[in-house]
Amino acid sequence: MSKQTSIQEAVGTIDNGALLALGGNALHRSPIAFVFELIRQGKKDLSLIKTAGALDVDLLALAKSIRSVHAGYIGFEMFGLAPNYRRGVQKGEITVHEHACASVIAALRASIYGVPFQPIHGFQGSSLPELTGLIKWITCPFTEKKTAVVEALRPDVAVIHTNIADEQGNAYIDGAVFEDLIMAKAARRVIITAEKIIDSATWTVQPQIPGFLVEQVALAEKGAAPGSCAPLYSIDEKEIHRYLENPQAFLERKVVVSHV
Amino acid sequence: MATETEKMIIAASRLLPEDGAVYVGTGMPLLASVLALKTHAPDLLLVYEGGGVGGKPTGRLPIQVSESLTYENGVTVGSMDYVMSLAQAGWIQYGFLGGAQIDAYGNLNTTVIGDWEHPKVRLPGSGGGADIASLCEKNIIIMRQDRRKFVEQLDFLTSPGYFTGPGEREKRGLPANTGPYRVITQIGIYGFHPETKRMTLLELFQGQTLDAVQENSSFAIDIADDWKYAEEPTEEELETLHALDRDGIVLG
Repeated sequence: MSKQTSIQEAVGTIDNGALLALGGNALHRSPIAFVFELIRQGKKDLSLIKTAGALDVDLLALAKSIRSVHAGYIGFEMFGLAPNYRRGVQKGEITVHEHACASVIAALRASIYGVPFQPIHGFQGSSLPELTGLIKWITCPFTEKKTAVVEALRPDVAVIHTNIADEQGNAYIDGAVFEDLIMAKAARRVIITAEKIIDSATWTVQPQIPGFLVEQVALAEKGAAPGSCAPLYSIDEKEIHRYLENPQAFLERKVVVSHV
Repeated sequence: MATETEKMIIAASRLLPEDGAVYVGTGMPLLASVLALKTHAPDLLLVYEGGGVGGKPTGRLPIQVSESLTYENGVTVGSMDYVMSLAQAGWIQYGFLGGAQIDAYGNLNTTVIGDWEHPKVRLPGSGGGADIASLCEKNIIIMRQDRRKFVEQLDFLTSPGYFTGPGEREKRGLPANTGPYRVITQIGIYGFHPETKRMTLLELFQGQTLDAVQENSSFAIDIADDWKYAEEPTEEELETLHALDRDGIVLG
């Protein structure tokens, strides 16, 4: 049975208030086309899971679509801070579940192993655990060592942009997979967007995401732009600068253009 | 005449070992690491947070830690989980950090300015900083120095240095022999005094003064008895550096 659908229909299945894990990392292979469609359909009160977010999270902050963010980093690296995320947090409109990238990963890993929490190394002394309550301490039952643990995070939906997928939902990522393979296993539902959808009899590379985990697959050419999708296209730096100079105008242009 | 940024990058590059693994961030750390690869440390292993291991970029510099140039000519490319667990298992000796605020013990803040619950400025967050700071043997901190960045009290402790002095990392269960190693600013190169673990000036960049060290910090900075001027960048270092960043992405 084909799982192929349109990006509009795939987004249509997302409930307001859903907990979404967004694949990709920073400005790379993030599901930007999907994010535009979330905004176009006026989704609200979303919570996001992302190790390092940039344009995806900031766009949703601009559209006032998010209630909370579980993330290690939200920013544009050398391009600067994430202006709308920053404003949303400072105004108290967005709740931050303060993580490091590694603790987001650990929380997702707990879900894929079917356990309620995951021990994690490297947070002794940071203010992160005490202030946020996201990292707690237990005594290791074997060594009696004080050990940090993070609670399992189970996304309602993982949205992952990939290079190639087939109609059964098998999907291939070129290069760095970031957290996407973990997200695909941790989430209750998986939606794949892909630069290209092929016949499942014609694979020449080995997909890493097996179709049985995937509920829907939608074509999204240039679906990570103006971020990159290696090796097909790099970051469009001019577009990123344009966004940061006037996010609202950028968003309106994108939404209007895709309606035509 | 080398610029401040060039001096900082070259000083960082010289600190890197001939081999071993270094956790690389974008901007100055990346340039410093690639410069080390091209000069004294051809076997240095560059590990990027996005998953790239052992990349040796030939053309344009990667400007983000997750872009595909980070694994050009690389050994492997995996996931962030893969590279971060390398640090958790103790395989990464050197790390680079920066921050919006630093204190005398090398503790860093990249999370918020003001109160965490009602921040005046929301910053990007830890990223890999908290675990790099906790787990790497020698962390090199590169940041500009002024009184607002060099503070007596952090607004949020994102990435631990030596906390409040010697023994404090070990007391909290962090691995032995880890912590901040050097701080490089436009003014000079600092280490941490073995007995007090407080920031101490080791080398001053040419053209800077001991007064500038203190004038640009809200906490008292010790001056090592044997402090000296940093060696000026060589022609070779500068030429190699300029060739790496022809578009002036980092160098301006």
